[in-house]
Amino acid sequence: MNWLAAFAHQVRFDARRARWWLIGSAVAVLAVALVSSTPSFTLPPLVPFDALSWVAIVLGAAIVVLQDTPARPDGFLVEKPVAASVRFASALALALAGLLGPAAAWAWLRLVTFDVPLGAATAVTAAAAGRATLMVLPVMTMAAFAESLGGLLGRGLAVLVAAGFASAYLAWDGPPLSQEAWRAGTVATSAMLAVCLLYAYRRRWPRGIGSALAMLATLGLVTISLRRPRDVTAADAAPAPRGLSLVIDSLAVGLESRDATDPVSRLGGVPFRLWVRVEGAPPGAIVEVDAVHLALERADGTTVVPRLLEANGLYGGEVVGAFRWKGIAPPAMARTSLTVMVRDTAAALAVQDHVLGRPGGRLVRGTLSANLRVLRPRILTRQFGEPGQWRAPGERIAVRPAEDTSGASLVLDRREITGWVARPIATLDLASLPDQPGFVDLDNTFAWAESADGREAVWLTSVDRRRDVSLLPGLDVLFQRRTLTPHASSGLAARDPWFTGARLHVRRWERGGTMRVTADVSRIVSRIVSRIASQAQETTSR
Amino acid sequence: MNPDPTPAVAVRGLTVRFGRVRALDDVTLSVPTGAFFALLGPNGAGKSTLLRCLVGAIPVAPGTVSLLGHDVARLPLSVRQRLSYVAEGQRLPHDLTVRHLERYLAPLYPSWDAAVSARLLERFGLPSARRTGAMSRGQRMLVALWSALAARPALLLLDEPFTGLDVAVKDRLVDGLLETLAEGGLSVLACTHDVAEVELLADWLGVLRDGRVMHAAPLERLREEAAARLGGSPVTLKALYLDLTKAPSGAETQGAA
Repeated sequence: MNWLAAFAHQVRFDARRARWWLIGSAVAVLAVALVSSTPSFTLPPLVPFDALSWVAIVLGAAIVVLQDTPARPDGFLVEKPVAASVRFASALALALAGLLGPAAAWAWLRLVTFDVPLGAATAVTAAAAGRATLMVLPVMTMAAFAESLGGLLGRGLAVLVAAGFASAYLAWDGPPLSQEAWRAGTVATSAMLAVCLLYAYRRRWPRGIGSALAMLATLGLVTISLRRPRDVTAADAAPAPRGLSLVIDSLAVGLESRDATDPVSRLGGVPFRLWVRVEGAPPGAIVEVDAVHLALERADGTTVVPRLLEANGLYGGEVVGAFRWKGIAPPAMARTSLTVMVRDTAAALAVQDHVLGRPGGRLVRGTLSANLRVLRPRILTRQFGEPGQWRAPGERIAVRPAEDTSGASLVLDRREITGWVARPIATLDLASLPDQPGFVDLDNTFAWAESADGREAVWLTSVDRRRDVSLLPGLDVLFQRRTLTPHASSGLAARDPWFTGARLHVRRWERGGTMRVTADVSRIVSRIVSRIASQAQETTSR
Repeated sequence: MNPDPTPAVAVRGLTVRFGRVRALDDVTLSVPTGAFFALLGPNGAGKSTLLRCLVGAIPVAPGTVSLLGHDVARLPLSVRQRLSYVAEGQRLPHDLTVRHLERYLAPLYPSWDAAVSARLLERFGLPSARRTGAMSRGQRMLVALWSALAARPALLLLDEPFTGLDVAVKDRLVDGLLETLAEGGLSVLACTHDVAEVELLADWLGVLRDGRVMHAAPLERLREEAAARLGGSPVTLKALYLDLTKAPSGAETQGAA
């Protein structure tokens, strides 16, 4: 037999031996997945499904090795003519494909059903499976050095306790751990574990230095996993370096009406996009930009807080958002939305406070770094559409957010138990997925239903939020499900016949960066200065 | 016909320590090709440790061990395909049947003999469709021996193969071994303290005590020497063993090897 044939032969044998574990694991994953994804399912707070999947996978990986652990000199395979690399590869393949496989397959399927492109879904699932492997590998390695499950649990407990102490000590008085060091440490310890596992299969009596190295590598990996890398280097934790500034490259806000048939009024989610670049920020730094306040300034100079509803002015929903990026050094995009009702307003000015939270805000060696700056740029918006006439309250209005794209909709699905259930639509790519609100923080304020004839629309609001079970350890995407209900202002009940045949619209995110419009900080500052000057002059003239 | 000059097993200066305990102490041993070498010794003498060294389950240092002419530390797969080992209380995949085991083992051994396999299964009375976990201890030992013999090995290592078995199972075990030995080409090193069965099988005898090989020689020669010591009457293996284990150590009688 050549190596591949021997590998396939060994995998068949190992799979047969561990078949009940594998089948049980797959059935458990499938059962939890199906139950958790049904509309009526509410995640019981006391049942840690995610943790259960971890336990099942980790225990299964241990069993795969322990069923003929190389540490036992009386094992069935001890003298059998099977290459060590074949046994190693077989155990690893079985643990990954047989145990992680079903969870990964389910995660991939869920991503695809959430309209994630196939390539991105595959890449994200593979990355999550890779992170889960980091947990499986130490367990398999320790199992290869243990003669029984009891021995493995003992070693595991010892490692966890030691890692806890080591992590606590390092957090208190250890050197800072940068992202790069964390990544390098993870890769190095994982590689060392893989070598130890292969060594265990080669030596068939893996004691002494091999066992010690395996324990050490496991301890290292667990300790590293317990420690979060610092966001900045030590130099950045010092007082804020000069020249750090928030630069807003471009901004696009506003409805852009081209609808000649109904130029009267507009109501909708207005995508608010800006590019943010922090000059001088270290690579890998985390910078938070919080929009803590938002106001609109009309052409006549009056300012309106968009949370207020005014008869002839502006209506705001939830507009305050917080954004967080890693790696702020290259331009990153912030998104929020502003719900506006515009009448007799030709232009508006969004005033937004940005809190640029320097990463030094974390505890560093017991001292709170004070690298916190607050920048308050004023951002000029684009012009709105034509002025129009305000409609009477309660009248249904067709809603056309600027970002709406044709075809980006789903037919509403009527559920007897939970009312209207809809799955959000999102266009994703790998880079934007972790922050993709379609999964984590989808704001359904901007979901609306369009009547079957396309002439009317009503707002839908989210009345419930339920979290689907991820099942795949390492997958950071939480599948949020919403129960949508008509906005109170519509006067419709959830099961109103009006919804028959209605279509759901959900705001669709698109990658920004093509609309380069207005302000940068210097320009904003100059505007503020000129405004202050004009007000001073006005006061003086009075 | 000249015997193969390369010994099936050659151990030289082997010492194994577990902490402060010397499990094996400068062991030197040679099992001629084609011989059934019975290594007797009391419990804790180091017999199992020696066999584990031979299959590479315990590192060999200091000392050298070669099997079928190859260093055990770098035993190629082609040599391991000619080697079988049955450990004491041999662990078997408990939820697999004999049929499953044969399906797995046969492709691993080019010399696997389906006819021998079938014959041994019949002789041992093993149900091929029953899980090994549902079998008795004796049946499991027979399964282990069946899998070892059906591979038609050149060298068979047995660790206490008769311990804890009832008389009927022992008989079947001995019969199976005798039958295979009769076909030739098989060398056996069996560590045991069951002298009754060994008397039927062995043509070489060694005694291991406190980690040291006290005696190792052709059985007949040891019998003759013992008979001379004991007054000329025929000596049973049991008597021989008792005589050897109380005799002063150090007599390396491997000379014929």
